[in-house]
Amino acid sequence: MKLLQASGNKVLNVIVKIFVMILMISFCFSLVLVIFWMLYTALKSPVEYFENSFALPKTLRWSNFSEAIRLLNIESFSQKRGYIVYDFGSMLVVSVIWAFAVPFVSLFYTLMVSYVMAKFKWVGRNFIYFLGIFVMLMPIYGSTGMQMVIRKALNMYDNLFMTVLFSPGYCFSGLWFMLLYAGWQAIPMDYSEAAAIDGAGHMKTMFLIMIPMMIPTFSAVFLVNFLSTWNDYNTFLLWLPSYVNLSYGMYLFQEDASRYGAAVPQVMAGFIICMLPTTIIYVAFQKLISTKLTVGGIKG
Amino acid sequence: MKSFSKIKLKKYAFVWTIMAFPVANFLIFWLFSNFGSLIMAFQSRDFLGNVTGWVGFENFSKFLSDVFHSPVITTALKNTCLMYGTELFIITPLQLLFSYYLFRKIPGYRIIKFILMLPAIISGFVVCLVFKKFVEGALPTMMRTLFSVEGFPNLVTDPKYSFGLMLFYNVWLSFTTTLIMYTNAMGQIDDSVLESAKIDGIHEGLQEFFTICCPLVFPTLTTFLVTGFSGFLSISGPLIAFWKFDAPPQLYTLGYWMYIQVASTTSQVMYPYLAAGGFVMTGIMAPLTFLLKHLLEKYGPSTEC
Amino acid sequence: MRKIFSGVISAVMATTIIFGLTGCLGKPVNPGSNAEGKKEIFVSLYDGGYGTDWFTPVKEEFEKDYPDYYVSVEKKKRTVAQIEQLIALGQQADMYVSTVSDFHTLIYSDKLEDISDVLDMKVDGETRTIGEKILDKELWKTIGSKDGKGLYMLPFEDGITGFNYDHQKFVEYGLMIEASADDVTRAALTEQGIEYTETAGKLIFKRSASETNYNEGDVILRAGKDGKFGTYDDGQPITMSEWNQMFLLLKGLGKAVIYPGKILDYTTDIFNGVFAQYDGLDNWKLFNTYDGAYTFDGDSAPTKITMQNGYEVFGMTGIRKATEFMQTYLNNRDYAHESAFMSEESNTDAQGKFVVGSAKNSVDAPFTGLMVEGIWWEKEAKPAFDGLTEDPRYSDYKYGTRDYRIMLYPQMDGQKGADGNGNGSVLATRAAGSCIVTKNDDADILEKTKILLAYTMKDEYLRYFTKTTGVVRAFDYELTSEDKASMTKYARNVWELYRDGENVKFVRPLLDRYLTALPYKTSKGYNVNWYSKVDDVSYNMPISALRAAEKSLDKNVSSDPVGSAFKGFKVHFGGVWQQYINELELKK
Repeated sequence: MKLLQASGNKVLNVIVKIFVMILMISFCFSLVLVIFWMLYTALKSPVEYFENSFALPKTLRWSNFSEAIRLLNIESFSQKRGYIVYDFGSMLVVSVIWAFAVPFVSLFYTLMVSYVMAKFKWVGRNFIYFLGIFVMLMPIYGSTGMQMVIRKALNMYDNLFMTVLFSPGYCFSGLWFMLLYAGWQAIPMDYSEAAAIDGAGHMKTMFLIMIPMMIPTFSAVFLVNFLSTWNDYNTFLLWLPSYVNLSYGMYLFQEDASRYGAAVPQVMAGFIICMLPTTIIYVAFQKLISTKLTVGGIKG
Repeated sequence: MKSFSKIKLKKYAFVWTIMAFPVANFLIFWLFSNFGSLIMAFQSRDFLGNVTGWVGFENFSKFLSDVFHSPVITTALKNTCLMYGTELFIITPLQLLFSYYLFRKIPGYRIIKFILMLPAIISGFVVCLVFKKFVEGALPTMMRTLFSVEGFPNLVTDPKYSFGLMLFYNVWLSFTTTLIMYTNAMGQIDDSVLESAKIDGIHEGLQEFFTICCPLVFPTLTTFLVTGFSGFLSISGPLIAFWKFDAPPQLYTLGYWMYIQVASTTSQVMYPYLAAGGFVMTGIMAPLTFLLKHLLEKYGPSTEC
Repeated sequence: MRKIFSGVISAVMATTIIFGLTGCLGKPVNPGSNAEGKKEIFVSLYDGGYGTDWFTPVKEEFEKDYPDYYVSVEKKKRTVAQIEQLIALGQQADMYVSTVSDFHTLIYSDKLEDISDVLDMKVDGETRTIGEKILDKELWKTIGSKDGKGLYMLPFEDGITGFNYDHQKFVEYGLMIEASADDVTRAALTEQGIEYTETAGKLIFKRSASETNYNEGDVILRAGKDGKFGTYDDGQPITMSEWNQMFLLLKGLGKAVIYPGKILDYTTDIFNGVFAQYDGLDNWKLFNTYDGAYTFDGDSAPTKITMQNGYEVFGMTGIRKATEFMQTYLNNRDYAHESAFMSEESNTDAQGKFVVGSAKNSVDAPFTGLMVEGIWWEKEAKPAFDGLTEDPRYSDYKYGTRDYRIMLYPQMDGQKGADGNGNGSVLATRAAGSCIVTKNDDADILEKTKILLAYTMKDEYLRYFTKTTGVVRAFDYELTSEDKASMTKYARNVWELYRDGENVKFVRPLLDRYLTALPYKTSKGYNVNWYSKVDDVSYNMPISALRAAEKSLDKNVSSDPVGSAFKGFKVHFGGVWQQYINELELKK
């Protein structure tokens, strides 16, 4: 109570506001500084970088970008698909497909599962809900070998289509499930009840009435997922050895830059090229993300 | 009665049409694949992975004895607490405060929002690599050339600063998606609520933040607090991205310690021990997490039908 | 907005399905127009610093000689764990050429083919069998066998690590010791057929009847440890005081030593080399077999070492000397370049700074005398050389033309040396790779894979490997003068050093540890040889232990990092040894 009274103090409010603003500006400044450093490092010659990693470039070496694209030629091999060379364009195609398909398939399924979990009472629901949380908490080690065997048995290993198809996994668990679950909780059932009275089936109600109400939230969640999926390289490293997306390509490129004939500036140039699409998408949909990405709960 | 059963049947048919796929996935990818780990925790194995015997709870007791005797584990536990403490007492309050002022549209809020989101746009390994290269290489040179500070320490490797830097990095990257979620949650507050609060004498600023915004973002907060707490023992912050398997032991967290045990071991001799360790950690964390969840949800709004 | 959004999603989903179903992503490489209807031999090559081009002529000749087969090549950095997984999946290559030799789990689980018969193969009318060419055949027969039977690995390359230096700059800065114009030197020069003139007390090279690395007008330097003039080690410091003097001079010029903070393992190679040079090769063997006797510091009689008390080996005097050496010259901020303390500093960063510092020697890019690196570094650093030569002022930094050399470790008081009598140098190798052939039900493919493996060990291709990569293979073979002429100066110097068996011996820590089953049958594990416990924490490299000891809050530890790190080895291994023994017993 005392805290509440104190929070009404004008001087305190001004101090806190200034303090938070300074903090925010400092964070922003440090982020911008590091990113700006990355940008101008990408415009240096390798020798300039070795000589002084902080100094500004003497001449802007834009060719680092075209060189990064030219040098970014990753070879992959799998027994199933043979020997494949990915140039920048092919990696871009894999990235685009991966970054759109995985969030869409997995989140759409999660959306349906969370709907069923949030809006229906059925035997086993609580069990599955708790199971989902339990799974989130349970650290299990050393099961990669077994996962590999399963993926191979299901023809998922090194199969992009199947990997996308199975991307929802056990989607009654995890953060996105919890967010969408909370989102459903915030939406009243009135419409669906009305639809049921009109004789609409559950499936019809879900697709035609309920899901459309969640589209804004879904889109925002999708976009945030898109950003992280675009940057995913681990899945390729483990399960899709013959596919190379831009992020995995860049990962291999920076790990072994000298083999590709690149130095730090070209690697930085590669990073920048790689982050362009996500930046554009984010700028274009910033409004959507910054208004619709809610986890609900306040309308209830 | 009959029609009631039909309705029920329809509902169950619908529910399980949707649920069958994730449940099957769970059975295959989680239960089946992890059942082996549970069994393994009670075995001893040789370097080829062959079972050489059943050892009861020996692996469990060895793990617990290591926890209580190894100084690395003690440091790791301390670091784990510090890292979680930072999340709970620094990151979360800052996220809420930042969100509030962004929601209240302080000058430049758009650009601030955009900049704070930048780390989410860039691949994790890129952010980490660029950050490390900057701090180790460019920053000391910057301090020398711009501020004439000679001998600026290497914040990444100097033991005096390195754990602090890990904590900073964690804070530095924590204002992306979560920040937006909180801001948006606050954005959903009806203007009339704020107006009537104003009439009741609640002013924009801390009072509004504590009395209106905080309670209304409570469900969101609950979600993050529970998931955050559940990961308490597996928390490794930026250690993996920064160091892969080679973090200096003074930086270890329990989660990182487990990670390197698993990821860097080439001998299957250790697997049963690690499996047991995993179960011990789960055994400790699961009830605590459920307790926290229960306590938080008791005060949370319910909208189930 | 919603419409745009759904539009984009639908379009991409459609593309996904089409691409996903047809699987047409990336550009499949045509294995060759003549591949159709032929049997495939699938080879996986480790694609490291020196690339995989060396394999191309091998493949071509094999395919010509065996027209019913074609060789498909995977170029990747496959780790042992990945190879194990691929074998478990049945997706393995027929043959792996790797820079490591940690295949014992696969050997013992019967996943690899016994390739003993390759030893008896003679390829294409060569006079020697493959077995006759292998340098350390007995070692390979031990470590590549399964309980002493069969042979499952054959050697690949010998990647020496050492102190690399820019000989031209060292001469320019007066860091090399010149030959004194005395009668003994004059006589030795004449005996070697070297003609010279004398100017201001210096001996100036004119011409030579024998092969030397001097050009007309060069000041002749003192013969190195090999006692010969005009070889790879001329002018190098020999005694500890000369070595110390060189470090002080280097410190005055810029920095003495650079190594990548991200790959501290290279410093462990120096550690191994110094240890082996001090304690001698017999004791190095004892260190790896835990079988013999050793008189420890302060003891009057030797202690018998067996597997049971094997951890005692970590108290060897040479290990203490190596720890001291490391602390004094590598972990010393007065001497070491900042790169050595930067965790994100890669090998190419350190190489770039080494090369650029040599050319520019400025505040930001100081001249650094020695670089701890493997012999493959020059090829990796090509972008730095290319970048420098863009500026005409640095045209003498053209790739492959600079006289880089490897500096031998100085003569230490009390050392056993390469010959056990206190003479000669020892260097350690890092990469000690091997070739393996996986099991195959197709006897025909298996046979041809072994033949292909033998092809890679043809004299011609061993030479070609060194000629094109600058790295040596662990075989006995000679280079022609044309071969040498086509190599970089550095590669020629390395080759000369490698072939100087009289004065320089090599230890191969990553192979020698397999003289017992400890790395693969116990939790000691493949990865690490050196653990040292400081303040109750075990560090996996001597340099990490030293760094931790320096920063310890315990003054007894921080005041004596060398003593603490040295003691730490025995403390660590003493603590876990019984567990290893139990695990070994268990597996019997």
